[in-house]
Amino acid sequence: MRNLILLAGTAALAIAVPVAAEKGGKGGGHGQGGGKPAKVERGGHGGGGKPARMERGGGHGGGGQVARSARPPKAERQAFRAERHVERRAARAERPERAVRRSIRDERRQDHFVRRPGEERRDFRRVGRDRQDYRRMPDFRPGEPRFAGYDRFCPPGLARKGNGCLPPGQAKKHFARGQRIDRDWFEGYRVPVSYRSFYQDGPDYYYSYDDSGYIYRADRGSDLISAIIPLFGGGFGIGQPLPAGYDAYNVPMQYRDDYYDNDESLYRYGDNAIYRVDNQSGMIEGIVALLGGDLNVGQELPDGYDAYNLPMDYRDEYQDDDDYNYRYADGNIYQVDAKTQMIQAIVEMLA
Amino acid sequence: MKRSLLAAAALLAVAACQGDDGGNRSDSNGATPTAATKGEQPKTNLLEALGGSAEHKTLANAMKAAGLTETLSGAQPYTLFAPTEAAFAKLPAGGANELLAPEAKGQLVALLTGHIVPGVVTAADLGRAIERGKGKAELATVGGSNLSFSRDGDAVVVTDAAGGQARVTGTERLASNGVVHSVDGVLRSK
Repeated sequence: MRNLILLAGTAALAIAVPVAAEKGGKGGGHGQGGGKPAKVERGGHGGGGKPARMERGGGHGGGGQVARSARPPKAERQAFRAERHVERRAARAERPERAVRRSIRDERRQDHFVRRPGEERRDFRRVGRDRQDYRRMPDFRPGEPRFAGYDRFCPPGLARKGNGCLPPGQAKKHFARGQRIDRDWFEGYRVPVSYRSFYQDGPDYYYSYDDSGYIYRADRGSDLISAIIPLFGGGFGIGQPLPAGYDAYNVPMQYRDDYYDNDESLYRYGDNAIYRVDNQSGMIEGIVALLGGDLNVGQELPDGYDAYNLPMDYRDEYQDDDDYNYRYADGNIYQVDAKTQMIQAIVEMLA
Repeated sequence: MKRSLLAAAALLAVAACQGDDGGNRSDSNGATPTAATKGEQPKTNLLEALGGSAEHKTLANAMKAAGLTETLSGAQPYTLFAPTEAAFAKLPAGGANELLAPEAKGQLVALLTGHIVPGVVTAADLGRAIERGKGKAELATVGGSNLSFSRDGDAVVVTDAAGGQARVTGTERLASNGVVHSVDGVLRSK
């Protein structure tokens, strides 16, 4: 609609201009056709004169003289211009010399610490710069959550927390489901290595851990906590639903005769423990076995197996002697070379 | 297969008992034979042994709260270093109640598994290990931390991963699936 009006206007002008030129063009600014007012008016347009000149009587013949006489005489105008010029030079002369001004500017740039009256603007700039420096080189303050990553070492018996070292009893769950996670709190805290195969970061979420015995799953975009996974030495919680990702039976081979899925119960292995899960409700009901999980054939016997520990039923058959030691772990009896302490074989699978 | 293995083991056990000195080294000299090595199989399991002891009421409750009852009554053998009532009383005020709180369950399991060692380590086994280790023996717990044992006179002292110490007290209680040793302190993991 707007375009249409514009087009119509342009078309009207295009028609009007040639007509006007024809009718009064000659009378333009020369005042030759000064007869009828109507014609003169048109002639003003046709001559292309400025509206100002029209006022001065561009198309009115003798009217032009009257307008010119209203201007100040030439000499007067020149005198006025000269006067103004003198004033400007005087004003310029009052300002300091260029070199002086430059030195003042340099001085202002260098001297950021001397406050001068009426220089608030420079003060703001100084504050801004200070803030940047602070960001670049933060002072270490162990109590602050954002320095949590530097608090890696706590005295024995104290748990590492975002806000420092706490006795284990005080290291409690810090965030609730649906809350926004504070990334600063978890700086330097990742999921413990032994749980990483269970809880891997995905494209939509990531996992954090704060040493309170809980892993938090948070949305990558919003940082909102969508799941809290308690670590019970196994990544499961008694009385809580089985976490997603444990649909498949995964009990180690030597325990499969004792713990197999049936109508009543499911059994799932997670981080050195076998859990019993109610088949109907999907709730975790108990831990049925605890595994050490660090003995392997071909490796040296790890620390912590100094004592002979075979179950009673097997003691007569496998006794330590000068050549071999025997140790029980994870449902197996291992034969260990007495001199080299290398684990040579599994001699019995008990479970 | 399993049954036949067990049967074979039982036969061997009977055969061996006739001439063996009861120690766990065939050439061991003067080791005190334990009741179990003489072939007397206890009828109670670890859970029942714990429940039947007035000294371990709090521990039994804690095991129940942590969901470890099936572990203690299962077929797998474990050695339990069981803190007594006096040990729990040593905790700061309200310490035992705090441990049993539902929100502290994760820590409770971690704490309790730090008292459980895989297999059956009798007092005699422990004593021999300390001797062989020149005054020190280490046992790995199923919780992942190690316990260090040493002698203080006649008593056996256990040092936990956090540096805390407790004494092994009383006599061991043999169970069908392990053994219980009383300790007079609550052991902490890392």
